[in-house]
Amino acid sequence: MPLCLWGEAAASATYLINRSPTKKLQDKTPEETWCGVKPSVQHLKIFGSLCFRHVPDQLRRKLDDKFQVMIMVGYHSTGAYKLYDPNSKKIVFSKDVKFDETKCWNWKDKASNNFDSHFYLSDSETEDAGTEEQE
Amino acid sequence: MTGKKSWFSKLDDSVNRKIRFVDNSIVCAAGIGKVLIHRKDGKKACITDVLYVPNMRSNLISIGQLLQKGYTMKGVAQAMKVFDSKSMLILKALMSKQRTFKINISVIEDKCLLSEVKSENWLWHQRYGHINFKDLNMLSEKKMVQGLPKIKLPDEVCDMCCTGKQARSSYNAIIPFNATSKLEVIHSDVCGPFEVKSVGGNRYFVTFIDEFTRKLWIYWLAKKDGVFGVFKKFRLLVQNESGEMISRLRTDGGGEYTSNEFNDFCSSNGINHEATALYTPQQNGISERKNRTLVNLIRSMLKQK
Repeated sequence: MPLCLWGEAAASATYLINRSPTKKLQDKTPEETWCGVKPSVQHLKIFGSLCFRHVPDQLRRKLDDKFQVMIMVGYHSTGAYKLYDPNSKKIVFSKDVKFDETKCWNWKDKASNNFDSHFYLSDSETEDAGTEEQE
Repeated sequence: MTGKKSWFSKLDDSVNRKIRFVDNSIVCAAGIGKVLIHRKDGKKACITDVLYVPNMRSNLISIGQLLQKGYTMKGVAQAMKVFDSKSMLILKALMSKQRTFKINISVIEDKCLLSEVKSENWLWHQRYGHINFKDLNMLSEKKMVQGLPKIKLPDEVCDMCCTGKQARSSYNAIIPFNATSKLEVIHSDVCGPFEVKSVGGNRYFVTFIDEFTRKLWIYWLAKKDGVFGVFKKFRLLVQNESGEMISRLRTDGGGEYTSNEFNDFCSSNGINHEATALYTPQQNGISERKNRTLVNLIRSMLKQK
């Protein structure tokens, strides 16, 4: 992955460290000690994995693709994911995302990143992350 | 007679004499030597044949010996004056209440400018390139080399060894885990600069860790001086969230934490800013360890895809 994503990686790392065990706290994560609620980790995805973000109706025409290939770079406290668009190099937040944690973006050869929408959207292993709630 | 060994500029400790006092008590002298003193005119003088009596509290000067050496004494009013053979006044002692005579003499502590070889032990210590005495002792005791005499372990410390070999003292964790509630102690540190700018154009991140809950917050910075603004934001956020107040902030005392405005802000908000000793990141362990964990995670996360 490009090193310029270290900031996003740091944020995700913080998010994960707060949900990891610590020597000083017995059988609790820092997050639980802080806010008193046992945190859920069902929504966690591999950092940098490929995902397909649903393009909102307002942003596309009738026959345009309904998804956009993005890279997962973090979490948002409302339950959305932080996504990096490798083409425009912008960061967006979205709740309506499908993940393929087995695939990754080819950073060296951008032309090879042609993803067939039909193949991915029918893949049974991808989960609908938008229905899950954080915390 | 004196009990202070350090006063002697020369001491012959082979001499052992017994001194009998009026009350029949006997003390043993452990040596005889010279003591250098300051004269009132600023020059130095030397008292010879001074007996070294260990554990003696006061110093005594013998009138008999002074007479032997050609000095003369004169009692005038409440004082006694001592003259040398040329009738020059060298001492004036006032009589105290117990009818003894008290004199003030300032002793010159001997300074050695050249390195002096004190004894065989030290000679071999220096010949062996200031090797430590235990090893030297082992060499001679186990006869690992020929021609090395038996070495005794000295009590003194070698100056040259200190200048050449002194290392940092080992660190013992003396700062206890003492936070008893949320936000009581906040640890903070800045990490960076990273060679590559982040997507948002930042090169540093600053961490805040609550000691009690070990919860971690991070903020990004383009420059280190942004720490102050970030700390104000962080303080508001966590205090609103938890309802507690930050009472102590522990940092490494870097420039970004010790600016005037930062100090003013801390003191006006009742935050006790504890900076650790300079160049001792061990005392800032919680922050530094968290930084390590964080950067480890970042590195592996960036590598995996």
